[in-house]
Amino acid sequence: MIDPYRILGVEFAASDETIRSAYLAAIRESPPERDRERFESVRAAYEAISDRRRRLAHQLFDHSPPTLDDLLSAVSSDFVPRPPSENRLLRVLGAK
Amino acid sequence: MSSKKRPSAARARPAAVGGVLSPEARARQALDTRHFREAIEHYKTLLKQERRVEWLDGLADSYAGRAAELADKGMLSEALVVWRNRASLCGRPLAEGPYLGWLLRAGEHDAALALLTADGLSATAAAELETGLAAVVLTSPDSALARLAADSPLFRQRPIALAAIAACCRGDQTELEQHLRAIPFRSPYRDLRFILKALSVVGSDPAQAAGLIGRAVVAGPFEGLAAVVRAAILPGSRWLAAMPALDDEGRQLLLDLKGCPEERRSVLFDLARLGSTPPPAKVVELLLRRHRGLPASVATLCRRLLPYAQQRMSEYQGAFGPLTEGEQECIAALAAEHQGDSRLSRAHWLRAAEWYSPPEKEPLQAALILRRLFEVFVGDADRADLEDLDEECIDWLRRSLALDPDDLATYLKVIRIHRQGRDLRAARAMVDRALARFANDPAVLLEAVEVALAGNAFKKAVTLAKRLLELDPINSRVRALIGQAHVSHARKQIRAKRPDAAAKELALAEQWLISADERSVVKLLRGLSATDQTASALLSDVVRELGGQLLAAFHLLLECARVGIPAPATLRRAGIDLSGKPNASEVLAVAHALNTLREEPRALRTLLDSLRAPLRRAAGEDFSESERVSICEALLRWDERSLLQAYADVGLKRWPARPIFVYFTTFARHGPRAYFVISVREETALARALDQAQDDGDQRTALRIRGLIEPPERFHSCPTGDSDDWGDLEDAFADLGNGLPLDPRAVLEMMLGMAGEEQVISMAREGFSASEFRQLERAAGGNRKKLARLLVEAVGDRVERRAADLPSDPLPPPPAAPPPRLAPRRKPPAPPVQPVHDDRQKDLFDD
Repeated sequence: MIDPYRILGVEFAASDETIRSAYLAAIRESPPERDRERFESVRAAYEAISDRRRRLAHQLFDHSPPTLDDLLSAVSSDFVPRPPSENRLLRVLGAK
Repeated sequence: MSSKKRPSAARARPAAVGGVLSPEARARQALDTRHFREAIEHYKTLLKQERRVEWLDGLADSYAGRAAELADKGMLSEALVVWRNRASLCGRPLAEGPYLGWLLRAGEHDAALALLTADGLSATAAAELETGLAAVVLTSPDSALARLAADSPLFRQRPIALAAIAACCRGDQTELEQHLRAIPFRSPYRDLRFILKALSVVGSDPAQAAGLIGRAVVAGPFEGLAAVVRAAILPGSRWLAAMPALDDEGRQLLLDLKGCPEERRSVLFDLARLGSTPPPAKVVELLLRRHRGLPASVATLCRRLLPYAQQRMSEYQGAFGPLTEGEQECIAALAAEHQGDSRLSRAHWLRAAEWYSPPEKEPLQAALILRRLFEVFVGDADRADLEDLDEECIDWLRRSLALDPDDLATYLKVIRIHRQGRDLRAARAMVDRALARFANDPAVLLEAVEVALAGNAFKKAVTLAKRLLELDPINSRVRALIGQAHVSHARKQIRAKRPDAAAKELALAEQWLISADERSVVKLLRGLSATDQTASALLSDVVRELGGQLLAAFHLLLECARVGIPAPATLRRAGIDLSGKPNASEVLAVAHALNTLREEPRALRTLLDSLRAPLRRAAGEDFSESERVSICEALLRWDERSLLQAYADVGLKRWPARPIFVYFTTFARHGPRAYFVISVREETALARALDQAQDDGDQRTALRIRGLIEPPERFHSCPTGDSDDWGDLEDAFADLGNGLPLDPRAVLEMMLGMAGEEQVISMAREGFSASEFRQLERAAGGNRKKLARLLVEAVGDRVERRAADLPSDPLPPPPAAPPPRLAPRRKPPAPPVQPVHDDRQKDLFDD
């Protein structure tokens, strides 16, 4: 399972327009001549969830095994990156 | 040196080569072979005799080697002691080599700082030492820094570096920039500039962070922090994989940077341990075990993985909330699919579709499920063999359209199925429904054209095709279809003895048709539409254009059959003579035409009656292997078994190792139910050919051969040894009737195998008159087994002749072997393809 929502960086409840915008942005960022692999995965992701029928079909029928990326994405969906604390950083510098 | 482990005498005196080694040579040898403890002893002994510089160097090298050995084992304290011995005994500076690194690793920061005040350090060594101690100086208490010179860069720039760290941790970019600019290029803190800057942008601009961190020295004084930044900029989940390589503080900092709450860290560590391709069942187990505090996205993921761990469905519901009945059915269906149990998955999918169907639930999901069922159990709807599709499978699609009437692809699929199954009324109804929703869709219009053509509604087809051309002007297929529609209409007019109307249609057809062959057919039809001299001249022209007597005869006979004109007179009128031997290219052209033809088998067999003799004469021509296979395939497709045998026999002689010719010859001889009649020799040859086909990776041929040598599935349970077991035998016959077209020859063959010849003779003789039976008895010459077999053959021939009811190929024509199908098929075979005279279309399409 390569989660198409993660690949396109959209919410599970995203609309057709949002998904299309994300898709266009992603292929602009990774055109095939620059990053073929990424381009293919973006295309595949878009094809999987581009409209409501496909999204439902994906939700109903996709049961391919998860990748580590999928797992991490699910577990860390509510993570908010933040700067480190000064103490932590100094402990890293002073660690044996 | 400790006396705990003295080198053994044997090791202290290595074997001499060409004489006894001197003590110095022994010391050198021990050092070279990395026996450092031994080398230390030898050099110490030597130095007691005389303090030579080279021996002192040897001792220093031996100590260094031993210390490194200990440090590599993690025995840092011991390594430091050995290094200090080296300094004191050999007069070497303490603060050189790896000593500082070991001190820092051992946490002896005070001792490390003390090195700065050591005497005799060169300027370069002092600068290196300062750089190496930069991170220690930053983290040491002020009291520990008293011994630093007030003017040393380490001391002077320390507050700036600390202020930069504080600004970085506050996320204050401006102040960070300001402090970092104050750190000079040659400062011991110079790497901190890149690392802190990278750290400040690691979340917002990983690419920039990667560029910055690439400028920091690898394994420099701030390596602990640099390693965390390098891990943090890794894409996707790769940072998780990099985490185990960091020390504990580094891991915690990395998780801080990613924003991982404290209570979720252990889950991440567990995930990292699952590897790059985590087993779904283990993931479900882990997520269910640690579900508390996990976000909703985990529930979604876990729900999608439940088909791998169906037994945890209730546990899931306990953790993440209830599943609807529909969801549970879907999960069970996917689990069954995953286990390869198609019957169970079908049942669950159908129940799920039922559950989702009501308007207040999710009819679209039900529609999708029904369409998926069709895909899984039938497959590609564009296949050519969908004529006898199971009604239930078509019903899935119909129901899906009732639930979700906006799916164009399903309309097209259903129309195609009905058209191929010759259910034109249903096809037209579906075309109307599709056109009502997708009036200007080229695909729907194309299907509408095809349906109109299939129903002989040629004018309607042309009208629709022209509408389609307005939308898609360069669609060559449509242009060809329009041409074909006119040609078909012309045929209809010729059949109705309306030559003027036919000529008009043919003139229109010529405007659309491009290929030479198609235009030749138009000319041929012009020749057939009249009987005057001009028409006969046209026919002669066509014979020339088609490049041979056989091919011209084929097309002429075909068109005669289509327009209902007697063939023999027309052949004479066209000046075609079939008494000679056709050349190879003509045979190939006819085979190609046969392969592409979609004609009614019976009409074609009549046509082939005239061509059989010339085709047989050409069987020995020098065809290539692929050409011969193509000819055999065409003959097999049209069940021309005697011709097939002629061509396949030559092929088998020419290429005896090719499994496909073994298949063709056996099939030609015995037909699709060869299993019941093949001899042991033939079975052996087929088995060998099967192995060969499998070795060659030719799965199609392997499958076909298996179809000949393996009993039909329903015969596997037939009784074998016990001829008294008539209950079972009766069941077997019932199976035979249900599972296969009832073939008396097959029944008797099976009976012969199971019940013996006497049973067969007594059963079969009732079907023959006394004189016929006596004749067969005489032919058997008293051999009861031979008589039984003759009876079997005679019964089979008689029934098949009756079934065929027309003069046909000398060998009986059973239906072509069907490929194995996934779904059960119940609908009877399709009616004839050619002219459909269906009253139902009168009002709708009739011209």
